[in-house]
Amino acid sequence: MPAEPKSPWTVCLPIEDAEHMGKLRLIKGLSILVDGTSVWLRGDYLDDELDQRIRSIPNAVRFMIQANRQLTRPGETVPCAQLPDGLWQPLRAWLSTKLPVAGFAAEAGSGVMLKLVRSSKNRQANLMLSSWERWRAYAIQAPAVRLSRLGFAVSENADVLIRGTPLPPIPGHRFIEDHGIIIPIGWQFEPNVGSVIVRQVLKLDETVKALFSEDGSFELVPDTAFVQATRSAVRMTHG
Amino acid sequence: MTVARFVESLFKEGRVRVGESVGRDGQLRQPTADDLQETKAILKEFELSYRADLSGDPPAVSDKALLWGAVTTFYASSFLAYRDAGEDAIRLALSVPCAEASSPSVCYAVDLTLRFLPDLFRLARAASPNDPLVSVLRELAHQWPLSSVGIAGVEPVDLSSFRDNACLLQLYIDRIIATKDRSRLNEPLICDKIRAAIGLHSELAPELSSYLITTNPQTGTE
Repeated sequence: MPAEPKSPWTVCLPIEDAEHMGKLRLIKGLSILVDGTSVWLRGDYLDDELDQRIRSIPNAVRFMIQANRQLTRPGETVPCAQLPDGLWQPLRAWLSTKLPVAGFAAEAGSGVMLKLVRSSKNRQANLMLSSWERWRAYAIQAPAVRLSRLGFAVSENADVLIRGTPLPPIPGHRFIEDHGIIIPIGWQFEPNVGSVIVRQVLKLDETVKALFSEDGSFELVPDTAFVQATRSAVRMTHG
Repeated sequence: MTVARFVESLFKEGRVRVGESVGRDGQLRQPTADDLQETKAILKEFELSYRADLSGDPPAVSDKALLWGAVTTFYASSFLAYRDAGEDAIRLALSVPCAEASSPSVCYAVDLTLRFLPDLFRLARAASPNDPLVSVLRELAHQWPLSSVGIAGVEPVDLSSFRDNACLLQLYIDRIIATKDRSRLNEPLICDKIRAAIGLHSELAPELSSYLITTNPQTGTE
């Protein structure tokens, strides 16, 4: 559209694209009409800068307003449409404004549930849960070289956690401990994050370990509950 | 320094101060009856906690052997510190046999103090390899194999006095593993016990494991 000062003009565009007219809001003399699903914008003057702005509006169809409200395409003389009747209102009034939200705070995601799933990875267990009686019977007869690598903690219900390698050859549930996160052997976290991340997620204190069950529940075990495995320590412990 | 103070210091502090065992008259200084009585009381009290760390059921302690081991260790320590004692004095003090025939109770009681024999032997040999004390200590090591694990070259080793006692045999095995004393892998029973202790985890005792793999368990030869 060539610059034609004092030439009335109008553009028609779908109403869903009306927001793009915001860039024209501060220009004086522009008025707007909503006609069903279309919106019309009109003005009496057109210079090169305004023409450039109008061209940048998506899906906007431009017309020149002729006598008798007839519309012609830019550069054409044969009317092709009629300017609609209705209540034209100033663009500045029609386009209301609102203050932006400061900083555009990020919206928290819905979060990912941490759970335990079966793992095909072959790893060596370094902690086991057994009964106190089995552990005691083993420990007071065991070679010192085996005990020297183990620590144990006894619960009130006579279960015993034994950690270290190699684990004693007694029946029990075997686990893998890594950075204080203890999960059953043959299982892994999903998503498959490291134990350091799990500790951070659980906000664990450095002095505790988290002992997970296969259903994903866990209980906290303080580090101070573990003592070096010796025959005397086992004998002096009342399970 | 009395034997009682010597033993007390040995157990509580792990270091001892000893006096001369031979007087200016050349005679061996004998501990008094009161000293021996106090020594026995200290040893008995210590043994109660010591046995808690042993495998299975430790044997009862022989009182005579208890004192014999303490006095022998006391003299050996004294001769280590006072190097000018003659071979006769050393032999006179350290060649007195234990008053009781060897048995698990005797081996266990003697071992309560004589288990420091490998340390004494190492120090004596480091000071002077040809010192008479070294050869006398080696003889003691031969007589008391349970207490001398870690002293190489004590062969043949006769384990008959305690091999049927599971507690002392396990103590013997534990010491062989701890000191990596290959010289004690000289019979199938011991080799089997070491293998059982290590299992598939050769990393627990790499030196002994590699030796056992290449050694005929029946003959003990490579």
